[in-house]
Amino acid sequence: MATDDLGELMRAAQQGDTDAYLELLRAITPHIRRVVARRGGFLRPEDVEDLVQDVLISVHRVRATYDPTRPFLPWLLAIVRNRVADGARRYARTMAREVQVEDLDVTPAGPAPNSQLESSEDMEALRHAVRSLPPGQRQAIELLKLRELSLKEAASAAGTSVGALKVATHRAIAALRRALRGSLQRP
Amino acid sequence: MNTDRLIERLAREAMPAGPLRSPTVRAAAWLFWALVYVGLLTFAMTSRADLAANGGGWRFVLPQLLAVLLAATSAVAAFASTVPGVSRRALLLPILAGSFWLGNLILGQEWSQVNAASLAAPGEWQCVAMIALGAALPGLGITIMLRRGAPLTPRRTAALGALAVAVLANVGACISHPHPSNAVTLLWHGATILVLVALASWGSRLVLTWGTREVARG
Repeated sequence: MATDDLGELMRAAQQGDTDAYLELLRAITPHIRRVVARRGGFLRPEDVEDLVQDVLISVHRVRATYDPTRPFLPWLLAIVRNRVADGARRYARTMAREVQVEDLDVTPAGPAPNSQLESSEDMEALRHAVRSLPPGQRQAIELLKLRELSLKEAASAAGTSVGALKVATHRAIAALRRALRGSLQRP
Repeated sequence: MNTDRLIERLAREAMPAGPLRSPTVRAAAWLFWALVYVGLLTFAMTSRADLAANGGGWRFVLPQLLAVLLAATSAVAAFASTVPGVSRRALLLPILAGSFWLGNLILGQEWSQVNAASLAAPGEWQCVAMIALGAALPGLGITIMLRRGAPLTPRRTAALGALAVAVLANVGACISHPHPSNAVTLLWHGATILVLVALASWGSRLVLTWGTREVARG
């Protein structure tokens, strides 16, 4: 689709044409996914899709700032670049947090980790352990520990109560502890 | 959530939105109401004797006009910084206007007469309060207006907005009572402006956010 057409669709969307807006969002999503994947080479595939959704919501939130007399793509790319940079900062924080988890007492006595390789293996073990959790517990960990939502926000996003979320988190951490102890004790 | 479902939800919930007016037009609208507010506040807090003591010559009027120019260009740059894809050239305007304003104040001062005693002006606390009071409503107004844009560079946007607000309030403080020297104005008013800009920059990420979590939650 030509960039002029995208600008025209956004102009119609600003006036409340939901069909034009749907067509626009569907047309720009592959562009966004491509740019996010290229600029965010450090991201895991599931993080790329999270970031694509983040960009789409950002575009939605600030669609009033598009000036129909100006080209559409520079406007879109400025948002994508900004959100990818934010995503990179968030990702770095998350990774730092995952490394800190290794310092907890779930690490069994044994040879001290002394290489980057061991560290990344531990992180992979943690990722695998998180992926193996039941859906409710995995969601609790993702919302509270990885996305850093508050208990109230996470409960609202998960459509559950704060109490139930606390229980799920407690069980998830216990399960992770067991899983990590098992995987790290293996030679 | 699946991306296709998200797209359908966003399209379904979309209301008519914008387009926003250009940064210059929005800055002009804000400046008009801010000038009215600061003008009324200054009128209410200035005695006829103080007004007469200020004098009306260019030596007094020119720095005030340059300060209003700095406030206007800072506001334009702040609004421009919330529009994705817009050139950063607008940022040069407040730098230029700020150079004129500071240059005028610095060159208009006999620096050989400045000492610690002359800078310690207890009456200037009144100016600090006047700037804070004068910045309150215009600050709220520009915050609401800036939140409608994209928070691409929240710190810079907030700092520019606060600069516009504080420099305009400084004009009111300059008119409200006579100042012994440009050095006193530079020190007391300048420090107050810098504090307000630093506070705004520090708190920017609390106010200027993308709000994606709220939209995601619906």
